[in-house]
Amino acid sequence: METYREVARQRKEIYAFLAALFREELKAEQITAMLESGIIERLNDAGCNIDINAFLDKPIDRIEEELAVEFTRIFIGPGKHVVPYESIYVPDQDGRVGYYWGECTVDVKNWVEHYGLKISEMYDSIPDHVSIELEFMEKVIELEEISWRKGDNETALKCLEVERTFFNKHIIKWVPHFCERVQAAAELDFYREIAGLTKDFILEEERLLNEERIRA
Amino acid sequence: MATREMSRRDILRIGALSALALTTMKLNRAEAKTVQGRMDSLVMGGKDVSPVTKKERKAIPTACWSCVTRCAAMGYVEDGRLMKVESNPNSIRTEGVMCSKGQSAPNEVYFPDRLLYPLKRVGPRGGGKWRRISWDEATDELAKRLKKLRDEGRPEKFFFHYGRMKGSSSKLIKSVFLKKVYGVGSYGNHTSICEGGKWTGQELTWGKHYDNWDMDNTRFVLNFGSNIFETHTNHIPVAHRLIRAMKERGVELVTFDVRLSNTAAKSTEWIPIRPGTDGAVALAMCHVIMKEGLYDREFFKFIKATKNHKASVDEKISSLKKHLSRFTPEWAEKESGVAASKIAALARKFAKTKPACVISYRGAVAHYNGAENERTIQMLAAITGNVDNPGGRCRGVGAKWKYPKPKYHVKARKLKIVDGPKKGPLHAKLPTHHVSQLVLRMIKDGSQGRPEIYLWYCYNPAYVNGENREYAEILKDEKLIPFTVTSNIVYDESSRLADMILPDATYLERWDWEDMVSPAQIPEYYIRQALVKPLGQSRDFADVVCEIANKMGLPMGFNSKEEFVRLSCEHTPKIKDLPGGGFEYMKTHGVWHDPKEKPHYYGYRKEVKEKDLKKKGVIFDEETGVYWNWKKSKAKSEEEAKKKGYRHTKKAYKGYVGQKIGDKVYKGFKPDKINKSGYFELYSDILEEKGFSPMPTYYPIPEHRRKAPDQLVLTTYKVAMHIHSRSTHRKWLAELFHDNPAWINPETASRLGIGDGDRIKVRSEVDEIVTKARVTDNIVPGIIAISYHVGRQESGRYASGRKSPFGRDDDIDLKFKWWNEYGVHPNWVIPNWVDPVSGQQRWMDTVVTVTKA
Repeated sequence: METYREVARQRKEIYAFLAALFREELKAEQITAMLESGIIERLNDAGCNIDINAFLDKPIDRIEEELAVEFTRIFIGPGKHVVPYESIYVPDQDGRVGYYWGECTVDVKNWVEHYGLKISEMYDSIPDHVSIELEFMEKVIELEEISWRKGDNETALKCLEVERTFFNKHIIKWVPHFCERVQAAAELDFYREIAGLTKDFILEEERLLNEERIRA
Repeated sequence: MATREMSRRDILRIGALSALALTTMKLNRAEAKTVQGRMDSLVMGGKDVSPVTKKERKAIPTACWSCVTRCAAMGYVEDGRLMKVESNPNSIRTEGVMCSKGQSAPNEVYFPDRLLYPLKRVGPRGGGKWRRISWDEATDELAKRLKKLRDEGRPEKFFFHYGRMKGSSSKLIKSVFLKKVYGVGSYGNHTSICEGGKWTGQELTWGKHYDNWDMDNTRFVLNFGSNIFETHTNHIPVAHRLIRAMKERGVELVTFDVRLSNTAAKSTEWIPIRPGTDGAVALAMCHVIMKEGLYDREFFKFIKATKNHKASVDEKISSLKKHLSRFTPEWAEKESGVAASKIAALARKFAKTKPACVISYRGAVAHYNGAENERTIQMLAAITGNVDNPGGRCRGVGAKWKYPKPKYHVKARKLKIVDGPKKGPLHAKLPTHHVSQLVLRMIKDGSQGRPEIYLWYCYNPAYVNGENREYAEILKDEKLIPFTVTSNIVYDESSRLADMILPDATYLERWDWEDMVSPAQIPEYYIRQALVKPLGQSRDFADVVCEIANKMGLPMGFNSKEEFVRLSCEHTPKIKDLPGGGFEYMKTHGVWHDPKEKPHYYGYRKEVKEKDLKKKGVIFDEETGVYWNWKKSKAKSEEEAKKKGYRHTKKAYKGYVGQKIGDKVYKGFKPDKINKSGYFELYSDILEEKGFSPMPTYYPIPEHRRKAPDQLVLTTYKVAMHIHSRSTHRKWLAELFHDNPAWINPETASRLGIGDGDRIKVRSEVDEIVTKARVTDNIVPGIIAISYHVGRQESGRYASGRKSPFGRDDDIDLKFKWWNEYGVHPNWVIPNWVDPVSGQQRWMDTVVTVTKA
């Protein structure tokens, strides 16, 4: 159980981290903290390929602006951009696809609200935004981790069941594809590599969650 | 970066950097999160958020009342308006599951045709003209009329007829007000149009009725005519457990039904069967089990299978074998259409899979032979030892509330119109749950007297019984019944024939405690609390009763149902000691069960304590082996009790203490309503005395034997999204189901020259309806199946297209209502016939002639 608990702890952090990066632009002080605590190097150690030089020798507000422009261009527009909502990628039961507030949007909202959680009023987000889906996973894994810690294996296993169901129903259906589109659209290393990392992580999650061993 | 498999190490590494980034970059600030709140448990529900204002809605625990299952529920209220109802996630009965009917609750409060004011008829009865009156005027008039009858010493001329009344509503209105305070025993229920025959069959075998099916522990389920996945008296609590058993443990469900119901469709196997022949199949299965020695010898100790209650186990076994010898699978095949080889194979499987559960409902019991079929099905459970055991057919366990009882000592008087006629073809010999479908006919007949005031509550006599045309006429006849009153939320087929209408509060606007059977075999205590104020001037009928009692000068010691519920919480053991006080605890949590309590099984095996046999009044009855307390019976003296004996003393069963078996006295199977012994009775002296077979047998349905080759048998059924006759005004449900074409097999249809969608005439000996045909393979040949619920003449625009008096136009969905078909009600052509044993209404027996219209 110790291993499960440890894995849950790591997975929870990763979901939270990735959700935050897709949620909104990084602020200057966050970029400073990222550089000072060596996050870029650690990302590269974990297989990313971000040119650290692009972050050096530049005033922080310039980096902030470059990343913000890139974020806006990739996810918001104007013009051709990579929409971060599931219903754009996943068709409804009647085959309709490519519009906002589809069936999957409603379903994600139901998942979140049925477990007594709430989508923040601060973001005028549609519920199937990539960061909401990732954060929902984080919440369930958080309970899983607590349950392992308390020795409540039954709840922990049920959490895994919820994670697996939600993941298979939503995340795996579109996030890898979405990441590929981000990789193709990115002009700066940072978002391209984060998208790559996200895709690899999601594919690893698919293997982990659907392993027979944890289904027992 | 190319896609590659991540290793555990990578995960650890990324996890670590993520954790670091979350802290240093402050990415994890609560206010930055898009998904807020914490999951405290995996239980769904208990909270709800407004999609518009994003504010959390007020969650109030309560209980559903859509169907008699009465699931613990949670209502969500926003600015005083009920927005949504879900299950209470803490209920051990439902485990947080709720059906479509329960979820449509907000419609119940706000449907635009709801009755909101006391109304009094103007002009002739049934003329449809009304004037609004004040509550004072209404209760003054009722109190005056009731008081007059009581003062004149004939309170029985007030007849109260209810459809559903349970928990505290039943105790307050019936047990306290009617019986104790007012002194009337003239009241009718509606059990015989539901499943009264099933209960009589159980009372004859194992005593007090209600069978819980222990799906959490069973390994095989055999289903005779229960549409459990769509509807059942303990629907969601049992159905969701059965689904779980099938899905998680691979439990098989085999369903006998004349029709591919959604239950049959979701079963491991559907076995089509001719109507009313379930008993034949069950008998043949018992035949195979006894013949092949697959029975549970141990359980025979508690079975009575011979006239002599002292018979040895071997004698009982040989008596049963002998009795069953003629009921071979080959014989049953001829009756039922089910292959003999299939019957034998299922019998073996049922007997060999331990534990196994046999379930049954109206498909098996709403027939001429209903009570007997249930008795046979009980036998199947008993001989295989699947009675009151984990995974079998268990005796229902529910909460035991204590409630305030005022001290009045009046002897209730009654009109003898609730059990049908004393002779003739409509005579039932053992109507332990009464013969409600004949009450109006008995009133018309008049030989047992007629009520001067007929008040019905949660009941629609002109719609829910058979022969609707005649019953509406009786209700309309001012000479037969001088004064008619109803308390109702909806203007329906019967309310329009009332002289006075009292607008009832919906179950979402009132208080109750509830006690429905728990599928976990551990009692669950739960309450219903008002989620919102009653709409308009509507009032809970029980509160009206309190006011009328006061106006008659007969105070009951409480002035509202809320107070009654509070007092009950303060008096019920265990509940009264809950943290914060019983009432406060129940208001906050809605449900409670004793966490230390173990599931109740094998109650019959307990031995009676020596001191209980020595209590005053306890005597031994040689003929039955029963110890009983004659003081609790109607016997006037011990001599009289001994002379008449246990079986022939009125209400002797009320004094039952235990059953002597060998040299021990066991609690056994405690009787209810009839003086049965404490054995599981397969040999019934009671039935024998009434002229029936003492051992479970098969009575073919006479009308089916006599019918012409071209005639069909009409059968009815319920659907998942409606509640009996009580939900067509709910728009969400009416949108899902509002039309009910008649199912007919292609072979039968082509023989009669009927095509899919054709208009057809369905004629019985009592009436005729015109409806549409749906030609489908999902029904056995020779039958026509029409669901009820719909075919309304009233009940508002969603149900019938007709606006009710004082109906409002403030529901925006009236503009979007797209359907204008409302179905056809089959009860018009169904005669009010009775099972000669129990008085059960024979819903599934009607012979009809079907032609193209």
